[in-house]
Amino acid sequence: MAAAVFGLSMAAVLTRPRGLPESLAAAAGAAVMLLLGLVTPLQAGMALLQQWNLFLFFCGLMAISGLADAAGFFDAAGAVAAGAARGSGRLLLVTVFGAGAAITAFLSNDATALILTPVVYTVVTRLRLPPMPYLFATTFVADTASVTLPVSNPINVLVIDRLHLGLAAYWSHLLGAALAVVVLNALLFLLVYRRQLAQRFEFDWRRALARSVPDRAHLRLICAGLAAIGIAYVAGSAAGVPVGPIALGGAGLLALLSLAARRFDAGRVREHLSLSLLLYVAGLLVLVRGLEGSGLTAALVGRLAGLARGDAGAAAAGLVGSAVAANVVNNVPATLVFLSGSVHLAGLRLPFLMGTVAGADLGPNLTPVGSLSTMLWLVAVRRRGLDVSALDYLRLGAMVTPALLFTAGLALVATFRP
Amino acid sequence: MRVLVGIDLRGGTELLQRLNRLVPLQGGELVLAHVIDNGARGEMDLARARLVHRPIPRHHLRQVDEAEREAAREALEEAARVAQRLGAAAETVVAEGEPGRVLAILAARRACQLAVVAARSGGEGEVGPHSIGHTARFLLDHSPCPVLLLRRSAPPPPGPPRPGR
Repeated sequence: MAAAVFGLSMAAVLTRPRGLPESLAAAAGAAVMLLLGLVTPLQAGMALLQQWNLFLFFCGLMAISGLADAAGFFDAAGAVAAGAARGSGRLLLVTVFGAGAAITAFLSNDATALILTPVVYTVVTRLRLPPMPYLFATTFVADTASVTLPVSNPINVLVIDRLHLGLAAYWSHLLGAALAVVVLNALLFLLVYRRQLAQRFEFDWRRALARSVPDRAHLRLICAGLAAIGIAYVAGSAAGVPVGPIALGGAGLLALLSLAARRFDAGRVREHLSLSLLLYVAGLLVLVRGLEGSGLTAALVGRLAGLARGDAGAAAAGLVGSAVAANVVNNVPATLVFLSGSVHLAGLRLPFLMGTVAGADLGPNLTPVGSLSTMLWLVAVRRRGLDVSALDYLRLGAMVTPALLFTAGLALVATFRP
Repeated sequence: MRVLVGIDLRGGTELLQRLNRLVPLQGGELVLAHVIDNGARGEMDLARARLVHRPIPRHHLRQVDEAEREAAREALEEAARVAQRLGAAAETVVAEGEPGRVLAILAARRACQLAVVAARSGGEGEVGPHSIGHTARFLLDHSPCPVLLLRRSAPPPPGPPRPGR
């Protein structure tokens, strides 16, 4: 029964019948789990309370993005990336990758996909360069660089919280993979787009900065605040401090700095806050709790891990399994199911979940959309008359992502050798 | 003769000069059209929707819109200046959508006798299966009038046949 409720809820999340938002579909599924007694209110409450750090992290992250955006931080990053390219289309791809990797590492994949992408598109359009290589670069690096730090992807926070893992332990398994995939991704893009990137351009980054940044002093303050948040993330993760309160404190700091500069724009910040995202995650947590009660998550993960031998095999199984699951449903529910089901793996849990982090972070680039739900969204968009080059994306994903997954897998497996 | 010319963000002036060498434009009537390819917007929405269900901030969408319009205007102004120098009367049009489809519709609506586009934006001058881009190919299939595809440079003549063994 729990499996049926979970399956129907995921189908509703993916297909969005009558335009039903995913958040409401997930919440409705959670309500049915409760009404049918498949999850008790206490269990649901506990499942949500256990993830307090994730919820705080999401809130802090959204507010930080909004405050930084209002100060023109992302516009400045785009202008600096274009200026540093010194008129070379090829070098611009490298600097866009660099800016995207840094923003993803400290402000999460969400900030890169949501804010840096339109900024980069605006810059390359004004330069009259072919936009697609740069647009795909920001889209890809949002996932590729999201293995770097625990805060680079909410999925990392989920796994780290469950394993009580410090930064040193996280990096000992995933830093090599994170760096290797970013470099490989940039090299593959330079190769794939070598012809379109051959163009040169003229760009006055100071003029661009003056146009897009309303107040330089405010931007400087926000940059200092972001640097402090970055240091706090690294130091806090190393000391085992949960990242949620750090993110929320960082948002508070940026708000104070904006107020001090008399540039606090509540409307801009509100635009970045999304209650539906929190509702969606809450609904998924209760749904997965219901599935967990039926023993299905443990059976699924046990079978998957049973295919592998030893730590290296478990890491590979986690990586491949989560990459596939991220493309069938979405990486958030996929990771929740893997986390829930891995409780009984004992010694193999760490390698399996490290593989899950890499697979769920990198996997979404495999298909044009990373999940079936956005594939269906694609159909809806086409009906509205927009033309999305899904085939180009599919081709690119098929060329690049297996290489990234393979490289990450090799780097990860190497850390588990005796 | 009324000629529709697809003007890309780059290479529009060069395209007109090449066209003038083939078909003298003196006294002709040109419809210079730039189509803002909204596929890129779709890609941005794709990137967003894949991760979290939040819209792209409105002011960034406004910036994107301004950048697209400004770049289109610059490209068309450059092309119109060249057309004027070559003695043609030029009208400029900015449209939005899938470039091939929109150009085919424009050719019909403006009753053009010829549609001219670059064989492929970027990487032109080559021969082979990838030498014709999506826009040119769509226009070839759907244009209501004859279509002239221009390459950046004339392809080298095919070499002598290789002697068989």
